[in-house]
Amino acid sequence: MYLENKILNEKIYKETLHNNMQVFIMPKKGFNKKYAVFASNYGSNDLEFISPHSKKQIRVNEGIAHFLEHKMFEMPDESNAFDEFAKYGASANAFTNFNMTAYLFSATNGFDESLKHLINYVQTPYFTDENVEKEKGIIAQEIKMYDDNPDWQLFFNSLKAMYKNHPNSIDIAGTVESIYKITKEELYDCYNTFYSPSNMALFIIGDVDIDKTMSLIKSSVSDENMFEGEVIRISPEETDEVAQKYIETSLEVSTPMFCIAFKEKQSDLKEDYPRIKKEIEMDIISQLIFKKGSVLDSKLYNNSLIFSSLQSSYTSAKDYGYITVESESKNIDKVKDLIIEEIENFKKNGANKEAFKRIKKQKLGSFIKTFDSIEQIANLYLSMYFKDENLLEYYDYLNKLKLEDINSRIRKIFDMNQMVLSVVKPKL
Amino acid sequence: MNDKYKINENVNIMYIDNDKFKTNIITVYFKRPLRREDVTKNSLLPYVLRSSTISYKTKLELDNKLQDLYSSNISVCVEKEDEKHILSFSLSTVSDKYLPESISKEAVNILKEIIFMPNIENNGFIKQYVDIEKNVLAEDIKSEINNKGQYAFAKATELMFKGEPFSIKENGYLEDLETIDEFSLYEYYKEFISTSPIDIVIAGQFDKEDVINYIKAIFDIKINPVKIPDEKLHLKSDFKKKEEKMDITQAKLVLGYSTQISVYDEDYYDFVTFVNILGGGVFSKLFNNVREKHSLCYSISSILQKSKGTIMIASGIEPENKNKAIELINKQIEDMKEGIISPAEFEGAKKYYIHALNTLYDSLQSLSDFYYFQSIRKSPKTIEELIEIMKNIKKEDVQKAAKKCEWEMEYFLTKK
Repeated sequence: MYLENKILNEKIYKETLHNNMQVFIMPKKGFNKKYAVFASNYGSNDLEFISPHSKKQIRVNEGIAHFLEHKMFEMPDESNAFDEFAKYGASANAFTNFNMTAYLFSATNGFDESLKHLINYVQTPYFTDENVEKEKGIIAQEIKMYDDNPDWQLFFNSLKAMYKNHPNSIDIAGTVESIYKITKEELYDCYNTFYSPSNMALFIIGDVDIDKTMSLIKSSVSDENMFEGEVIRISPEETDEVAQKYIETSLEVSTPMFCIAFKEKQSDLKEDYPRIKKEIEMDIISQLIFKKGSVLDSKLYNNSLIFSSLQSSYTSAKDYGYITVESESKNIDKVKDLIIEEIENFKKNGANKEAFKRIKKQKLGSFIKTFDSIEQIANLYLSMYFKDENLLEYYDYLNKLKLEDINSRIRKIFDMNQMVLSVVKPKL
Repeated sequence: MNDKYKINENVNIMYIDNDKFKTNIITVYFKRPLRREDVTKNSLLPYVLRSSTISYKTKLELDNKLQDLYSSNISVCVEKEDEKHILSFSLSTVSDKYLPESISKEAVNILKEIIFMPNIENNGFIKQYVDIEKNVLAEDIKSEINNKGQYAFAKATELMFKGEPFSIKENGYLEDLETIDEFSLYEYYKEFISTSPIDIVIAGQFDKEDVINYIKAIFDIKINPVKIPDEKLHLKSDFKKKEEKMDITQAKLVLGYSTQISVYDEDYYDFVTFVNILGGGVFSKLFNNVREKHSLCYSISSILQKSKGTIMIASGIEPENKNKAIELINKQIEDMKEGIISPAEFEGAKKYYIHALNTLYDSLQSLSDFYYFQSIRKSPKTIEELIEIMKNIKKEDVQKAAKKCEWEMEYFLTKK
């Protein structure tokens, strides 16, 4: 079946294979690159689950989803999955985040062969004691690289401050200690649970022939690990309460950095409301109150309290949501007070009608621009799909959005009890 | 696909016709020599221009207007290209075809105001806005330390290219900011506008005749072009070594090599291929040996400095593995000198380069930048020409280029 947006002149072909794997193909005529991303609805947050095969409850070591992603590239003949892509000059990569693991490539030549290979290598797990051991040194270096990265530490600490029990407070790659405990058996347990075709989706975008591509996919996918129903994921109980209101670390940086975050309440997470609509509301709220073009951002910038525009965004999945506001400042206390004052203003008086109209136009323009970047569309579509959302519906929801929706959302998300502050200070 | 027009001796237009995108991009490039006495003014000027014009007196008004034009965006870029300083303003708009109203002319007018109609008072820029942007630039310069990999690379560049314009920092120097004020910067602006060669690249879907005439009318100005000297190759030098300590977990190692191969030499593309095979991606010797086989690092890559005939290799490693890493890295180069290059490494590097060239067609900004930066070289090439050259590269010639490679710099940023 086709999902369409006639105004944008874009459509996506969608088919569910007999093994329950979801396939999407988005034709983009005239583009040189063809891009494919094959993803599992499985991320660093999935640390505890019931194995659909043994029916046993398993708790795995932190950082395992990311570790598994690295190991996926090992082939049974001791070669590396990158080798096959290199034959065509295709550019391959992978990433893991809190909720998803994705394997991808872009090719201007040899797309069919590369697609076959992508499906093949992701469906061929090959973990040995030796190759698991070897990866530990590499991932340890990756973790240490992020330890020295102040933007990452700032953001990640805000998660640690917000979440008491929820795995959001655990680093995606784990820690050097946790990864050294990982075994091949554990990797197979995770693979056999989450890499079942029923838990995976494939998105292809480019100047491709839909029928030919579907045939190729159907002849390449394997059925193994299939089981009925969904994986039972076990999440620790998380209440509204934040873990700590303030968290600070010192790193080699030039200017203090801050991140203010608001943790969404359970009652709002559970409300019967289209999540995509909520995400658009949050996106507009970020732009209206904090980002470039807002009165607050202008005031802070003009007083040299910040040196580049405030960054702000909302992130959500089925079981969590948070909005962040961040930048650098030599006077964090003053900036924090001004930000809170502005939030209270908006809660009390609501958003300005003219500003709301203007931001809607801006969001419409930036949504349209997204369709020029094939990688961005594919990755975004899949991550939304795993949350039961359809990117193409963004347009209609945006147009129908009302000022009351925004004002109501502002009052819900900006509860001061839900606020945390993360700071990175320069080392003395 | 590509048409070139001369507005006058020093102002060129390039038109890239492409109807597969929903976005249109117009980029205006200004070319300057990279000079110590001008670099900070160059880094400051475009941001001051971007903050206030005759009709839009504050940055907030400008930003709001652009939001109202369906996320039209005007961004500034200041970059070092070899030993030139390139300042560019890039306007991206959604094509009128997809919008409920036509906004492109209005957006181009804003671009015109930003470049040619700044907000002036008493023969100077507005002091408040100059001060704000000076603070922003100062923070930007100071924040180099935040990204350890970038910091190490910048320090290594200063070390290796000491005394050459190439060692000049792209975004300027803190000490220069004290001597710049709203009057001196405005004087510099007047000189800048009348002496910088201009190139305008128009890319996307337009009414071609209409937009070219419109742009011609805006940019038909008299320019007495500033002299931009040709780059000189980096000469063979004595070995330079430096170590710095910081409170960090992972050490950053940067090694430098010289080859004496110039971008005008016959073997330039053999040199490019050599650097790719060495450390251009996951097909490369550095990735497969230093990272995969020996687990010494997560990130490692080699980059060439084309007008200098040099290579720099950068990696993040465990501090105690420095000597082991250096030995392994240099072994990859020694292997290439011996001709030890596997078919997979050779073909992988060539195909990857060709793939990267082919992907340029899928981004208007990448295409614009590609054609502009080719146009300022002595012998510009098209994408198709480069692909042909790469297809015909021979392994023996890559080995010959490798043989010219000599190690001459080591920079190490490590923990206390």
